Amino acid sequence: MNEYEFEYNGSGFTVEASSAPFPHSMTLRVHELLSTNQDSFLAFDFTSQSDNPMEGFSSIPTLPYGLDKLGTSLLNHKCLQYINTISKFSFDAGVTIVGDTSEIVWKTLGAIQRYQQANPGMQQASIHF
Amino acid sequence: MVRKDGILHRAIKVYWMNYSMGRSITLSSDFISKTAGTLQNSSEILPDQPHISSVVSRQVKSAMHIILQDEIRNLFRDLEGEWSSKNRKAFALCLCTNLIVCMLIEQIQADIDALVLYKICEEGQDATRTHESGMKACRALEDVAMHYSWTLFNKVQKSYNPVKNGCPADNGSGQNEGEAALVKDIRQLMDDHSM
Repeated sequence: MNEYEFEYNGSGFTVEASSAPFPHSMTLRVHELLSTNQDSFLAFDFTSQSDNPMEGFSSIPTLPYGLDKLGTSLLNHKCLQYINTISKFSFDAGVTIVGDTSEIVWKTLGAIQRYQQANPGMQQASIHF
Repeated sequence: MVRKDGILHRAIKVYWMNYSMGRSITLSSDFISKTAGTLQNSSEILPDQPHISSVVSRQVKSAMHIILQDEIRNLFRDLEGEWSSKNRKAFALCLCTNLIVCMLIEQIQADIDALVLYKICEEGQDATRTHESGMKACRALEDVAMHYSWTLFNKVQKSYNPVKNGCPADNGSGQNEGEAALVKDIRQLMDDHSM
């Protein structure tokens, strides 16, 4: 195994993965990965930045998991399902703004969603990816 | 063929896909607490850190990137046809989609800023040239995508602008109540933000 290769350890586990602070996730089967290069598992810690943005970020170790070939081949479908789900998120008045979305963006998305809901034809519309 | 009313759905999906691409992929804590002890590399897992796997993140974002490229192309292809519609009913649809395109571009510009910082801080690239390159990319997004979409929109809707002139649902303009409510919401937003 060279430093750019991984070996899978074990038969895998099921995890729930989410890319945003929505109450939705996608179910993925991941495996523990073994590598001679532990840098493969590092990620930037975006909370570590000082007041000076030019100082950059420090790195932190992350979980040594990854999808195998079968899991990767199913990813497109799972990502589409996930995006379909979070795209239906309700922007009703009173719901707390999600994450770092600005107020004007949140309200604009809410207005667009109310327009969609007021047009039954649009509710039934679907896109074929 | 994508139906006319599918364009807005596509735009919303593109927006959230791009939003997700700019965020960390986090894994459920239940799984980690159950299995952490069985991992050969369990010393790498610290309980007070977000549950992230850099490899899973790259795999998911690679898949999303491919989908996103196709969807952005398809969105502009479909929208271009819709912009040329003289039908007043197309007004609300194009307005909503154009607004989402604007918000999408704002997201991408923030991503470009982050990329510029990364290239300067982590890759040691020349700060002035990298900054200029980022500014150029941001300007191109505004000149090409944003300016183009609103120019086409305003050209077609030159004689009919309910956002500017108001649009009561019962004035015989062809707008339904949902479209009139949309115009009211957008006008209110513009007032609230002094536009």
